[in-house]
Amino acid sequence: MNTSTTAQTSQPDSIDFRSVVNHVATSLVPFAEEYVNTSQLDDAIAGLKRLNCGVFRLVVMGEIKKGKSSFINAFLSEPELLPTDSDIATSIVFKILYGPKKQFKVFFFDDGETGQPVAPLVVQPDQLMDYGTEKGNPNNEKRVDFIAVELPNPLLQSGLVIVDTPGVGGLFKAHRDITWRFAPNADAILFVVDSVESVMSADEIAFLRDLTEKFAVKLLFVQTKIDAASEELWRGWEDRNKTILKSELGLTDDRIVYFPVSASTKNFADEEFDLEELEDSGYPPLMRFVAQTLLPSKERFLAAKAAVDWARIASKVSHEMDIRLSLASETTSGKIQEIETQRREAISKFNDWELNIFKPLVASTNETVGKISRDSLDELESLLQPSGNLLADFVSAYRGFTADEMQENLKMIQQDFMERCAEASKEVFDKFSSGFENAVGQAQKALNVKATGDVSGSGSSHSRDIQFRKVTTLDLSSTSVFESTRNIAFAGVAGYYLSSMVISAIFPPVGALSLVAAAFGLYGASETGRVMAENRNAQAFTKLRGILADQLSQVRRSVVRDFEDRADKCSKGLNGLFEAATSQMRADLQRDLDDAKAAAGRTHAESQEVVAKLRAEMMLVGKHLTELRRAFPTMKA
Amino acid sequence: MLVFDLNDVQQYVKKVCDEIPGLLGRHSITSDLVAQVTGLRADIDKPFTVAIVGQMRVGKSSLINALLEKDIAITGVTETTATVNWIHHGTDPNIARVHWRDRPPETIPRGELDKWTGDSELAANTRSIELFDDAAFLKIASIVDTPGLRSVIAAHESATESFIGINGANDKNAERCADQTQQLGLQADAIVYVIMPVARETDDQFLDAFRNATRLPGSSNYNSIAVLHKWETLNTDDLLDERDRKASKIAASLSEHLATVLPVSAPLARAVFSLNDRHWQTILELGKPDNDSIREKMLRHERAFVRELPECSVAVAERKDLLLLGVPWPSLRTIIGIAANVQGTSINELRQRVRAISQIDDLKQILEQRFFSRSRAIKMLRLTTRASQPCQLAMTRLQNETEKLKTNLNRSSNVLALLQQRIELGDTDLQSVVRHTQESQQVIESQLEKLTDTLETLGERFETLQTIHDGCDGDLAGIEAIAESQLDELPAELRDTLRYVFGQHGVSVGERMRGLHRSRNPSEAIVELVGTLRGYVDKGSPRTHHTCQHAIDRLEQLYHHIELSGQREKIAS
Ligand SMILES: Nc1nc2c(ncn2[C@@H]2O[C@H](COP(=O)(O)OP(=O)(O)OP(=O)(O)O)[C@@H](O)[C@H]2O)c(=O)[nH]1
Ligand SMILES: Nc1nc2c(ncn2[C@@H]2O[C@H](COP(=O)(O)OP(=O)(O)OP(=O)(O)O)[C@@H](O)[C@H]2O)c(=O)[nH]1
Ligand SMILES: [Mg+2]
Ligand SMILES: [Mg+2]
Repeated sequence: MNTSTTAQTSQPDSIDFRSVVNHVATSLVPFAEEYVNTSQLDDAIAGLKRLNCGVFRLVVMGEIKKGKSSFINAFLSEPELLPTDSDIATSIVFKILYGPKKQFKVFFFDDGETGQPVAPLVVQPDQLMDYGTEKGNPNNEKRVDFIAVELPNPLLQSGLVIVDTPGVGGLFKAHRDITWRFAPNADAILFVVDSVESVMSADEIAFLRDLTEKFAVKLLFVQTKIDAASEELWRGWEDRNKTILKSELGLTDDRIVYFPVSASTKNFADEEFDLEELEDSGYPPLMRFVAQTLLPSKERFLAAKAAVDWARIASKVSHEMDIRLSLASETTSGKIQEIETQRREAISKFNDWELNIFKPLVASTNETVGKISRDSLDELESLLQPSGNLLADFVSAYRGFTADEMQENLKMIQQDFMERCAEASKEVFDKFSSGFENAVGQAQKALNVKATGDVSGSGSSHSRDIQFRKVTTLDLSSTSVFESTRNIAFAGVAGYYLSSMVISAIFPPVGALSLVAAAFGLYGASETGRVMAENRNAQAFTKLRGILADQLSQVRRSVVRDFEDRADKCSKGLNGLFEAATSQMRADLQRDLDDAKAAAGRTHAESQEVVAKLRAEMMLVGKHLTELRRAFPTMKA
Repeated sequence: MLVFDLNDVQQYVKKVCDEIPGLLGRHSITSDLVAQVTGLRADIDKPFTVAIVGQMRVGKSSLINALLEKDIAITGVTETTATVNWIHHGTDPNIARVHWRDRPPETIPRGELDKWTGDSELAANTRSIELFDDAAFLKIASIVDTPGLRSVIAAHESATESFIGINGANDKNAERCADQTQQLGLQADAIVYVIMPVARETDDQFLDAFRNATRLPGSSNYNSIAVLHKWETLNTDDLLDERDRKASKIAASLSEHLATVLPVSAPLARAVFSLNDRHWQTILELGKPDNDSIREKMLRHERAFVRELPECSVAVAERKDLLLLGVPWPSLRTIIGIAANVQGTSINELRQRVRAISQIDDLKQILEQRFFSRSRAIKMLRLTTRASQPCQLAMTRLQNETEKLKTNLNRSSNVLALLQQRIELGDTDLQSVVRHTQESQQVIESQLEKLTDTLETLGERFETLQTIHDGCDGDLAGIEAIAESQLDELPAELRDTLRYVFGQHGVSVGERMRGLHRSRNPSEAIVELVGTLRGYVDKGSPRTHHTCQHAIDRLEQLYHHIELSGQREKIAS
């Protein structure tokens, strides 16, 4: 089979990334509990959990009747699993995941009237049609959210979840929305085209363009039903489709992962254990790709992220052990006394610093942030004021239009206006987030300047220097911290914030507003003969402005609410960060002092023992750190 | 009366087309509408035009070739047809005439046309291409092959849309099309919409736009039929039943837009005239019971078909030969399947069977019945729609203007009264103002007169156009109802008479009257017939009611027509 998988050089997986990270993490946990503050440890453990549960959502999408469900069935060697038909079939999202026995579970939306959750229902295979297809459940009158299919299939055991979606482009327009809703949850999208109906259409390209603009998601292409076309034709279509993807979506050759397959042929091959048919079905390269490149790529990514966390923990642990070790190596009680005194001073210095420098800085940063958010809020409110310029400027463009034209294009005008609002609000949001970033950056700089002094240890009298604790080591130094704060606040809204979230989540649907228009009586006034045209146009214009103003105040309410939420999260996130940083420092200083007290009470032999134990532990941690670095060579030191 | 005889009607529409630009041009507020009727006049004498439309790759060009039994239209693997291609009646199938956008037309050898396919520069520069064939039906109607819809080559869809006379049915190329439409404008009288077994949202949108462009609100769907194509790609055992089910389903979901949906297969029809006896012999052999056990396996896909199979009585080389004939693989598979079902027949019988299943002859018959024989009525429907739309718009504008002028006139009368009072009080300086106002009043009054005059003429034309439109619509509905056996409550003889009245056998007065009793004086025969029909109006189905009512309207028009010409004769003699 001629596929472009060769371009996806899958690196040989001699290293099992997941088990490396797991092994290191398990041995580090007892030390981390002693030396690292809990929130950092919790984060690292959560990352580990994500890695270990290893879910990979492969979402299958495409236009109606391309053969999506059949493709999945053949992939899993279960020809009867999902309902397929030559008429519109799938009308609900199906999630297929690993389970000890085959089982279909229907999940429902909350009850429409009472708002109560509805318990999921286990159904028999022959009942699937009644819940998951347009025939059995027209217009989703049964209010099904999705259907979970559990299957004891080894292909799914590694955490692969395959999602089947309704086809887009048919006469049931709601299906597109159901499918679309699922895009953000995808780790990869497998887009199905066929070898029977046509090469890729403008509608398919528009759909894909929308998809890739909003979600940075991996795309795979499957051209199915190759059994139903001559080889000349399906290869011709494959080439043409790739050309289209290149010219229309700007994909490069190496980013086009494309598999021609036949579900029918795969089913025959399974039935008859016929290897020749299996090759002809085109499935083997696809399955190899999924197992060897696609799934491991996510695992590698998650493992690398976890590795960074644990490497950081390992460094911290060995650093702390080193401090301990140098104390334990001191032999004279005078020296130990001296260290104890120094450490007491360090604590009081730290307290001073916290009180006189840090706290005021936090307060002023908070104040700045507060001001920025109040300003932005004001700006938003006045921007979206129905009496403001936004509306006036927008609506003035329609002054010359006739009533009929306005009426005809109302929906479009409203949509335009919505986008205009979204754009304008986005500017404010953007301004806020850069202002926020700035304020935090200022705080960081101030800390570096004002707190150059050491908090602990003079270091002068030691042969093996205790490393100093400087306030600048407060974990505010890396820019990634700010990013993470912003992420808390904006939840990764950066690029697609405007188009997808604002419009769909915050802004009310246009359909609802058209009703407003109807109520205003813009529709159906046919007494044109009597009413003077200009008068009517002017009236219509006024009404248009009224409708848009109404729309705007709805928008304003929800945008402002949304902004308040986000700003609140930002400042909470920032304070959490400050808090975490100082609490770690306080804990470290306290431990230093306790150590010194303990050392004062030890006999020589006991000290020897402590030193030996620490040395051994440090070796071990060092070994783990090296192990991580070897497995993830790209990781920064 | 002229609304009855379509020959007269045609003259009338011509007259209106000549007259309306002048009427609209008289007033600045309506002069922009002139452009909408200019192309119309030339359109009246053009042959009836049937456009073959549908999404790319659905087999439109193949279908045309199957109808002509000759490879005239170019077909291909990826998006092919890139220009609007007219097929006219003519004797030289080896030439093509290219109508450029920017220079005079040019005749080229037909063989060069493949340079005009796909994403081609030449095509972008070409307005349309004419091809010629001597098939008899082309004398009545020209066929037009169009570029496929939904292609990523945006120019394809816009070329088709502007030819059909709709602007951006899918809201994509609206602006770009607008000016082209005015030049090319609305050239299709009827369409054959080629559709895959499952209807899409885009099919609905396109048909909707076509309907709005060619018919007034409330009229019926006589100018579009659909062909269900590529049905042999359906993955099922009961292929023929399934295709018929699919056809009814599409007919039901798009019933507003389509008069009928007929499954056809172009490749099957083409195979009948393009495969030779030896090929058919091979196919018969493959269908024999000896091959039963391996046939299913062999037909799974093309590669399986040409594998070495010791059990198969047909050598690999012969099977490979079959793949070289330009018959799409699913069609070939279907033909072999048909051979297996009609075992023990001759190759000629097999040919006949394949031809019957292709339903190409049914399509020809439907085209003849629905389009060609009703072409005059359908054409009038479209022309009257196109002519009335600008008239209606103009009337609205002119009426508004009239109101405005009347208000102004009122106002100035009030002003004059005031001025008069002042003058009576001795303010003689105001005399000149009064004169000025009176002069303005006169100007307005003469303007008003002109407006009223135009309005009156337009109103009269508009009403007549509407009557013609509704008459044609009613005729078509009546013919349809009789053909579909929906009027079986009426005696057969009466139905025959009505066919004549509705113009099925000719649209002149003479032809329409041929169904009446010859022995009687025509006026009496009409009166009697109307009486009979009245008896049916109030009983029976709504269909019967509507049809009889329409027949009565028609007969009344006929009666007036006869009386009028009788009087004219009297006066003349
Ligand atoms: N010949 C052939 N037919 C196929 C193949 N895969 C699917 N089909 C047929 O294509 C039709 C549609 O298949 P489905 O799997 O229901 O398609 P779908 O994309 O899931 O359809 P919706 O969910 O309704 O959008 C069915 O009639 C299948 O039999 C294939 O590999 N070869
Ligand atoms: N399976 C099958 N293939 C067909 C059928 N009709 C045409 N084809 C194939 O489909 C492809 C398209 O045929 P065309 O006739 O060029 O299609 P078209 O609708 O004119 O395409 P455009 O000009 O691009 O819009 C060709 O490869 C034909 O061989 C059919 O009934 N069944
Ligand atoms: Mg499906
Ligand atoms: Mg074509």
